[in-house]
Amino acid sequence: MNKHLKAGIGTSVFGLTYTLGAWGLPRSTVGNPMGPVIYPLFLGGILTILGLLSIIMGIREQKEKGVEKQEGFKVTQTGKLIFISCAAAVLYALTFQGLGYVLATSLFMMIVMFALNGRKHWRSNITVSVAFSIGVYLLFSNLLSIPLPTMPFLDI
Amino acid sequence: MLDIFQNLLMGFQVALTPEMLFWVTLGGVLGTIVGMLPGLGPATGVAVLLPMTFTMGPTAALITMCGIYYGAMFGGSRSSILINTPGDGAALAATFDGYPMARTGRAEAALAMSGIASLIGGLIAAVMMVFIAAPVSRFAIKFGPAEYFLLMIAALSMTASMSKKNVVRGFISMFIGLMIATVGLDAQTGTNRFTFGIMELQGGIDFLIVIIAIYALGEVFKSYKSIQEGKVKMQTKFGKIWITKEDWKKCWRPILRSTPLGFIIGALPGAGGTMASLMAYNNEKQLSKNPDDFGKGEIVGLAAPEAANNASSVGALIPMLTLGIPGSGTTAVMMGALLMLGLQPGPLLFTNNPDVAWGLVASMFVGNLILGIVNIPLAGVLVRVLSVPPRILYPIVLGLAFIGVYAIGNSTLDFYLMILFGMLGLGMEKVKIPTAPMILGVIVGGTMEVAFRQALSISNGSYSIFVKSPISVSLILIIAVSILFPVVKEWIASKRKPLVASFMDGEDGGV
Amino acid sequence: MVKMKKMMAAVALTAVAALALTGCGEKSGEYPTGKIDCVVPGGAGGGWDTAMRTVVKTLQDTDLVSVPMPVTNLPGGGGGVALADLQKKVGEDRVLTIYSPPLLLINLNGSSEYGYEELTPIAQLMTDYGAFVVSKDSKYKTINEVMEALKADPTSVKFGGNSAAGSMDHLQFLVAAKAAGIEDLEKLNYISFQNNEGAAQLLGGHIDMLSTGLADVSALIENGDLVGLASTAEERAGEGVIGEIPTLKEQGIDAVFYNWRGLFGPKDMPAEAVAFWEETLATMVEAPEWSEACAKNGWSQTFAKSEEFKTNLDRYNEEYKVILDEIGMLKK
Repeated sequence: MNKHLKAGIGTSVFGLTYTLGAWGLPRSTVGNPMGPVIYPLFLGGILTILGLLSIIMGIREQKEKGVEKQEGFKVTQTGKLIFISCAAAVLYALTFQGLGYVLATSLFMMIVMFALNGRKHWRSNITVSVAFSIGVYLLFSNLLSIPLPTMPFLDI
Repeated sequence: MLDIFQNLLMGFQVALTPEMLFWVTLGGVLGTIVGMLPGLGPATGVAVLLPMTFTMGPTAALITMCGIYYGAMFGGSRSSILINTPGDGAALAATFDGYPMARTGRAEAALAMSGIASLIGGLIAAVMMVFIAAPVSRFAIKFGPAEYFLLMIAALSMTASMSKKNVVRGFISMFIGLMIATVGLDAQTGTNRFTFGIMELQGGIDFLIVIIAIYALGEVFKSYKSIQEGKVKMQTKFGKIWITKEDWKKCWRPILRSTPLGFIIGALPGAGGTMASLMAYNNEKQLSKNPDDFGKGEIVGLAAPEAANNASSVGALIPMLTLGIPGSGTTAVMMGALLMLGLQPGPLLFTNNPDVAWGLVASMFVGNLILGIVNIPLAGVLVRVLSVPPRILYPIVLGLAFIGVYAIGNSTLDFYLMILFGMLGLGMEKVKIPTAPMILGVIVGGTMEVAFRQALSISNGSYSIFVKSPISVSLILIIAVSILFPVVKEWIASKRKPLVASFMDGEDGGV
Repeated sequence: MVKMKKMMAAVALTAVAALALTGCGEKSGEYPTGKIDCVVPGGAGGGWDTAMRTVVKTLQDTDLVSVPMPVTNLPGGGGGVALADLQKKVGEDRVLTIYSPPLLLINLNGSSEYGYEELTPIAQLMTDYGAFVVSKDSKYKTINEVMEALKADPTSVKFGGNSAAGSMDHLQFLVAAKAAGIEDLEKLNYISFQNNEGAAQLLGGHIDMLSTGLADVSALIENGDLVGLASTAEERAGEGVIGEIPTLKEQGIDAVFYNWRGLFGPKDMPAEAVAFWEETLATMVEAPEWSEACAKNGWSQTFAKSEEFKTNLDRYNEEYKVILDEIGMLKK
């Protein structure tokens, strides 16, 4: 499967889903009832067509160049890191209000930094995470007067 | 004519007092810092420093707020250049060539040029403000929904030139962007589209979130590979923050071209620094002799949008000063502040409080000049960021991205959106779908559709409204040229090659 | 190792100090004892924001309140996001917020599951009236001409506003139109603008009429670029040119629309807190600083304490229900 094919399939699926979603949108009671729906339908339709075009281009390229050697789905180190970052970010979002900015951010950054740099750099990992969190917190709450969620129990 | 100069002189008398100079500098520096942080833009800066302005007189308050505004325009590009994360929408275009320049060791020149271009853009715009604010304001009013729609199409038609190699994929990207822009409350009918019952989505997805997710997160993810492989690239020697004579020669004309463009676009309520800088970038790319260098560190690609966005911040003050209408989020906050301070922005400001009004105009010159000067040493400090080891720098960028996003909407929902778009960006990268058209689509999509429907509503369904006014006709011509120009250029180039080849053969053969 | 111990000691000390300080900050006894969070359900620079900040500023300038009152913006959902957030603070006495008709509208049109019943009304503070304006070279010279044109052809007059369909700028005209005898309200051509461009669009001749707040266009009316055809007030409001705008009632259309604004507290706010704010605000509105601020912003002073405010809200809610139902936007 080459890039054209992958792009095409992803795009067409997305386009179709969006078009179906667009059709399900509420009709308006003021003005033209189809008002809110026309444009999304148009977009979804065009995207699906573009996706199909891409698939056709992909098939053509395969015929010309032959099927590429298919790499097995390797879970690379980088891939793992990205996954960890995203998982940590989800955790961050969940704990943001509950733990307060400083704690949640320190936790988030420590997870990422330890995953990235390993235990060898534990000192800089912890220092940077905590210093960053406290620094940004002070900047926002004192200098900029933008309130950030506070820790439980303490009103910091 | 004479009285303009008299007024200006009076204005300078107001603006050059030590007190005002202090305020404009303070506002400018704070604005620069705020502008540098991703997600915090001039609107936030003005809103945040609002309480501070209550203790000053109205003139000082107005001057400070403007200082913050241009300061943010100066500052936004700093993070664009150093960490590929635009500080706000208007700094997006600076990432295209500014960041590659930093990667290839030309960070000092990039920072310097962005400051210089911003300064010149701001100064020329201030001059334009003095002389042609009223006519520009009258011109800006003529932009009705039909004209706005065509303007947005003009902005999108640049996508054609942005991705010459892969037209299909460029369009896929653009349409995805347009789709993202449909999320939210449809104001014309009061219906919710694609909000899935989530109230925070009713306002739509802020394009800045998409930008930060794709650029900042994208950059961090990309860096993982090189950090893990231990390819540490830190810059240890730092040169002077200045540009070469060559750089200047290349850039002075683009700067002069981009400034009026930025100024006028800024004066249109609803279009601002983001559109101005993107259009200036594309304009220069099309006019350039080496368009393929754009995106790889071509300094013109940095100078043009920087001049345009500072010019647009001056232009954005026009609706506020001449009509009392806020032209952008930032000016809306400023107007609110002015009302609280007892000033009535609008045409009457020049009659009722001429010292305030002209003092403001004068401070545009002073403010931009001071910021230009202050930014050089400031840049010298900032460029050290490049010496931080990537394994520390990039996690910090990650942290900054999230706090920046929170600053925009005060909602953790945006964190999930970030993750979603970050992954979308990765996916697109994998199948070589360019991300720039998508971002343009997100920025432009909402206004475009809304303008289209407003126009049809006004014309009772007749499409003739799109060719009625001279402005709309001119825009259609611009669109046509914008799409055809690259095509024609290629065609001419392909015709020329065989001719030149045969000419060469002839010569050789003849000898 | 030593460094670690020192760090731990430092952290412990800081924690203790912080706790002690938080304890010290609170005076015991009289309400309010600590800071009061002022939540603005809209963005900085908007109507709610300006109003809340003016109230806070006046309270502090007149020394009626000595504790800090930081203002935070929680925009989104037409006020719905802040409303949902306030449901987490039921029973608290340290939060204030400000709202106006959209509070009722987002509940009636189904956008928010919460409404004014999920807040405690404290006091109604001010009213902004609606105005229908045209540009100075418009062919419509009176509001009745507009209504006649609409009766003949509901789509003939294009009127715009700065809020979404189904919200204030749209509704205030519908209320007037209904009173003038127009029947197909949902056929009226309302064009919604963002970024407050409504006035610019009117000036540029792209729309025929603008429905907006009186305060928003007072400057342009004063210098003659726009003409006010009617205001939705009970009686003529304001001074100068604003005072010369005839009301709907004067011209034979029996309709009024108020963009009222008032302060609210979270649901089940303690009675003593509500009483405190009622009294403090009652004193504030007598102060010259407040009258000045209202004059500058073009707000009409109205004052109603908690009970009366609640009764008014019930009445407004019924009125909005009727209109929303007519254009099919009432959530059943």
